[in-house]
Amino acid sequence: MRNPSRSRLIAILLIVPLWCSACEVPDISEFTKQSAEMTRGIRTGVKDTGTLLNNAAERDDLYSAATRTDLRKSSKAFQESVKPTLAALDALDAYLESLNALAQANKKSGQNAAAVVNSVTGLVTTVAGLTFASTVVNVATGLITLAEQFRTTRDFRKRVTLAAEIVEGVHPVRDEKGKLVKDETGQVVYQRKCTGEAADQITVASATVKALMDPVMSGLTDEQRKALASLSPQKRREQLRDWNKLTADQFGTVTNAERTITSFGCGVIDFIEFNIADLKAINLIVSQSMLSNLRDKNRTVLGFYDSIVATDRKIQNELETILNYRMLASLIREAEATNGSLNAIRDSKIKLKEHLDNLFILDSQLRLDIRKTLEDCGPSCGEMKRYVDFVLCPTCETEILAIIDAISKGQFDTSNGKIEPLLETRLSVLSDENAKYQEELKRITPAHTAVIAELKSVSDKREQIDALMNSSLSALDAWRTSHSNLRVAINSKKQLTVSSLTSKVKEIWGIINPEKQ
Amino acid sequence: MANLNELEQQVEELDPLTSSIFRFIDAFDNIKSQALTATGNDQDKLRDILNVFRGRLPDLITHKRLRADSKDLADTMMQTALATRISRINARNAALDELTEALQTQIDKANQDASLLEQIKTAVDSATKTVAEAKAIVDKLTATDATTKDKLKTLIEGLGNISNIFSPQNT
Repeated sequence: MRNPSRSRLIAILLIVPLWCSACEVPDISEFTKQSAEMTRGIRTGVKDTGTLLNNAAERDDLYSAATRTDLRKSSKAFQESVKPTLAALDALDAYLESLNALAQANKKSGQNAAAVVNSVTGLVTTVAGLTFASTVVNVATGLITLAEQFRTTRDFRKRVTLAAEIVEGVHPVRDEKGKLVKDETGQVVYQRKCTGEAADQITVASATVKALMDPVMSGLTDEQRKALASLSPQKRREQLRDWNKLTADQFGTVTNAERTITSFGCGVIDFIEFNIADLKAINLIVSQSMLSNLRDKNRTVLGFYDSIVATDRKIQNELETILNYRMLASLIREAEATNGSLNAIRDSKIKLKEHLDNLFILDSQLRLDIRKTLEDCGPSCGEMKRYVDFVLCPTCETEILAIIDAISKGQFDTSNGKIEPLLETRLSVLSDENAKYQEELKRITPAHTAVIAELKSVSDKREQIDALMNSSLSALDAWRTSHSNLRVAINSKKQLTVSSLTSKVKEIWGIINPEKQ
Repeated sequence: MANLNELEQQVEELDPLTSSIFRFIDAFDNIKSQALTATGNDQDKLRDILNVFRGRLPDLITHKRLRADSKDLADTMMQTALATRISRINARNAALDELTEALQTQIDKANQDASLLEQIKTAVDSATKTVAEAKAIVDKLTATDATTKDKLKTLIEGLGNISNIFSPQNT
């Protein structure tokens, strides 16, 4: 008696070796996991940019009513414009999940096959009294495993290869006869043309298509729209031309623009990258505008605070110079009384003049008072007025030393005896002013701190979104590389590594949640 | 009309404390002129120049008009730049939609395959269950029982169906 099930198993035995060349499906669970984390991070960036626009539209202290109305419209337009990007991110997730499901099924195919063969042989034995030898059962199990693995591998490879063109934007290279070009290991050679000016040229061409097609499409009846829905873009355009909705010129323009777009062969990842580059620019444009308007709004607090700080710094500088002058004059007197080095004393007197010169720059009234005092002092002060008026220069050391040497110790001490009380009076006035400014600074510091904190908050958010966008762009590049590695892994049985993507994903989440770093 | 680099230099040289209002008016007139013609990257640069200009304006009542005008121009330029970026995204969306649709087709096919594999798992379970049932029925085969024979026939047909799932023609 011939058993039909046994015949089928034998048929499979004969056919399977013909199909199965390399039943290898790499483990893509880590790729799937990291990809989902990447898309989640990118969605956060898209959402944050939308929130920034909404926040700007709510700021009646920064923008006029008309500007806020426009911002609200822009915010709505923004939400609409990013929908396809979000859908593309969803599709990336769904794509890897479906591949992962196939990979997992491929892994379990041995268990499934063994179970089914055991069941079938058990049934055949019981019903027909036929007993298969254990070797036959083992062979059958192995064959069904291979059959199942082959199908999943073949499906897996087919899906990844087809998706490569769609997601990565790579395309197989063909020779002049249209035959696929392969490398020395027998792998199909792929190339990427979506580089350089692609983004700008595609944007211009797409805008041309949109400008022509949008009015045409909005003028169609429901039936016409329905008829177009299932057609390819090229057929759709032809149909519109046949309906006289597009002129021959318009048809030509749209066809040429579409040709430009497709000539680059950009993939989903490329388009998401183009959009992220625009989101990055939107963040910088709006954040910068908010920062400028915030500074403008708080210019008095910021300006007043800066002026007080600058003025007080000037006062403190003058106070410091007066104190240094008094200290140096005292040291000179001490050196003269203790027969110190003559050269050191002469040098110190030059330094003392430098202090005076600085004081005169800071305080012109003090200069006038000191000059008048020395003038009134007459011969008792000797050449001190010349000493005070002399303009120091890099090559006039001999001249100033000649003036210093012409002033006796008595004249020097008398002069300083008249200068120091003037400085003392000035010191007292400056100390009072310094105290007042310090008090004023203390009073306005809370308001200033609040303004600075708000500026910092807007600036920090701008930097965070910008960094997130940059890392998202790098992560998308890493995703493309991982997918390209997957293609190689399927065909060469190499292990799939996604370490670069993992590192970029970590970077993204470090930016989103810095406190968890 | 000054080019953008010259304009940038002109604005950099403005000092809130020392530059007269005339220097500010000259610079702002140049910014306004450039705003009428600038496109692309030049617009971005001009926005930065205007931003520096606004930062340099002194907090004086005499400069109030200039401050208001420069804020209006900055807000308008921000809106224009924002609208340009959104329309760039919108322009490319049709192409992105097409690619996403193509990817969705691949996803659907892969999911279909995964679903088929799920059916195989069900079939395996079913086969195991069938064996148990068959054994119970065969035990009753001592008598010539028409009903039992029919059941047995059904079971064998079921077995054929299970095997079909694994045949290469069905993949």
